[in-house]
Amino acid sequence: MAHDPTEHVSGPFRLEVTNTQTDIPAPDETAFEKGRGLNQIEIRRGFASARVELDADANPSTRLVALKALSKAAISIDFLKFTHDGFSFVVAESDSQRLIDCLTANNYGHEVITDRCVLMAHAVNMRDEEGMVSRIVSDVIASGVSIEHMGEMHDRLLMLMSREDAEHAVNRLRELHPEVTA
Amino acid sequence: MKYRVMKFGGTSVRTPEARMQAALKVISAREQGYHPIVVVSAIGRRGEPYATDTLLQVLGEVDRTVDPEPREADLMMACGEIISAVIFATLLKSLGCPSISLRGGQAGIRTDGVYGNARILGINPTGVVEACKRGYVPVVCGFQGVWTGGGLPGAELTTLGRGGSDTSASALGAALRAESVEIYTDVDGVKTADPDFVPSAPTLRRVTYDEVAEIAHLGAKVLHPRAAEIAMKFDIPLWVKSTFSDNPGTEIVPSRELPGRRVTGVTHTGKLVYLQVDLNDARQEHRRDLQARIYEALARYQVNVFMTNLGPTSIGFAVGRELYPEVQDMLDALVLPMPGNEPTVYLVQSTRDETKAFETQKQLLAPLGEVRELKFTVNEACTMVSLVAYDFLQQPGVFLQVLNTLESNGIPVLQTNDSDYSLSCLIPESELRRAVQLLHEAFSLSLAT
Repeated sequence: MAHDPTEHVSGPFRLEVTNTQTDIPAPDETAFEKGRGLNQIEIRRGFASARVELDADANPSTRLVALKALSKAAISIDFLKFTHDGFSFVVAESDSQRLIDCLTANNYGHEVITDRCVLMAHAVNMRDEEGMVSRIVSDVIASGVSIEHMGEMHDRLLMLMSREDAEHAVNRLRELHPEVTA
Repeated sequence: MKYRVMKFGGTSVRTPEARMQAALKVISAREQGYHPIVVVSAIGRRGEPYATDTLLQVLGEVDRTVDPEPREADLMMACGEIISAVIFATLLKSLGCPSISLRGGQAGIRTDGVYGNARILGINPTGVVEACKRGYVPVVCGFQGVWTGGGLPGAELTTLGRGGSDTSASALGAALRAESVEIYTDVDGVKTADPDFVPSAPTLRRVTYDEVAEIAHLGAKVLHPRAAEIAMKFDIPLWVKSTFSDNPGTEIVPSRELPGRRVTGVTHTGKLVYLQVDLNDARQEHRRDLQARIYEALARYQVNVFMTNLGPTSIGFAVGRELYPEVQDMLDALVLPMPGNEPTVYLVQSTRDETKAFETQKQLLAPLGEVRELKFTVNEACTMVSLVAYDFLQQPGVFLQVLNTLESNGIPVLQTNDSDYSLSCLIPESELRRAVQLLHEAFSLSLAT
């Protein structure tokens, strides 16, 4: 007999679960959310870091002129950071010679270091996990690694460092967090 | 069975008129042959009687010197969704639509035991399925689940943290293999900018899970990243729609379905304080340890940081304005001893003028040897404006265009931060509205679809 959905409307509802055979997976078959904290580490290779020197009292338009020169040379930059005496950024290692040529041609004091890696520490929903970003950074630095630049997105921290440091940091993070995948 | 999960946020259940609009959407879905599963948030927002923040405030007023136990706070907060679900179920019934309210645990949502920020471990949707089979529309309390490891009879109620109702909806959608999960709010979908700042900002027809998660990460309250993550993992079609219109809304899709270079939108955070310390005055051999110690202190006090900036001779980060007094208190007069051949003690100053605590520490430490000061410069009135994009930011000249747009219009950029999906600028708070408008125009976002 078909069930009348209105039969309980005016009386107390009693939902008797008699049929547990559904086409829905059993609860333990489904891992809905990744665990808290670090859950994956990854290394991207093939970067160079650069520092451009400007007068300490230079105004922002000086910075724009320098960036214009890079844009004109079709050099893509990441991790742009302003410092008191210029700015620094990251380029693909394959662009490093073009970068040096561009900076030299425009008479900018500079330093370009190749063989850099980006260590990516993945952690879901970092913004709502209080102290998580600081904890990861602190663990990486405490392992003896020098972080040269940082960036972040919703599910990962990006840290630029030398290739040796990146390998060292991965090993250290795996010791601290044996559950993470690398 | 064809399930459609429909989540209604606080503004969608705030007034009888809003609830009626929401209820009619549910009835319409039912008439289209779906089994609607409704997920509701608490009614209204801060200051309104049954809103989550109001309930917490009532608890806090019991004794301002005593922090409520997280368990008690969870029980208190969960009342908001329970009230909302009961009212909504009763409204559906009054419209001739049989309905039953279910607490998170009754909907089968099982979590870990972290009160206030629980993670969903599993869902047994049997009760929800059975209610649907019997013709009822389940109205599930969002934001809550149960933890079965508490040691007391019955399960412990837990709440899922910020954006918890979105997460409940998405997870239920995944557990039920729903045809779609629809997040209803008071705007038409995901906009290219905050419509309060750019009234003409168009609604995007489609964005990817990663883009919407990044938009949320950078301050816009459209959809919580956890909800996007679950929907992405289980490939559940996810929509952001308006309760108050019949516009199609925004569909959130996997990246493979939306290739192509584009600028997605401009977003912004709330009020920030930027702190920066120059390590040039520290000994070279101590700099890395000092960086580690400062981040260690921030981690220990569970401080959320934005705009993390770390270089060989500097540390910079931003914190929410509401957190700043706590961070200032934590850092000021912090003593960082550095052992070695030439032991040195570093003393941190986090305020413009020396505080009594700082002066006292300095005097006390003086007989111990060399004391060096680490002085933070603090910008208390800044905020962050961000350009979110897909496969675009790596193009030569993008940084230049962003900086030029702001600085040529007299908006100083204090620092930047970037990732695969976003480019953020720290700017004075007073310039936020203009910055959003200028970037929206510079990247032709009024033409976005």
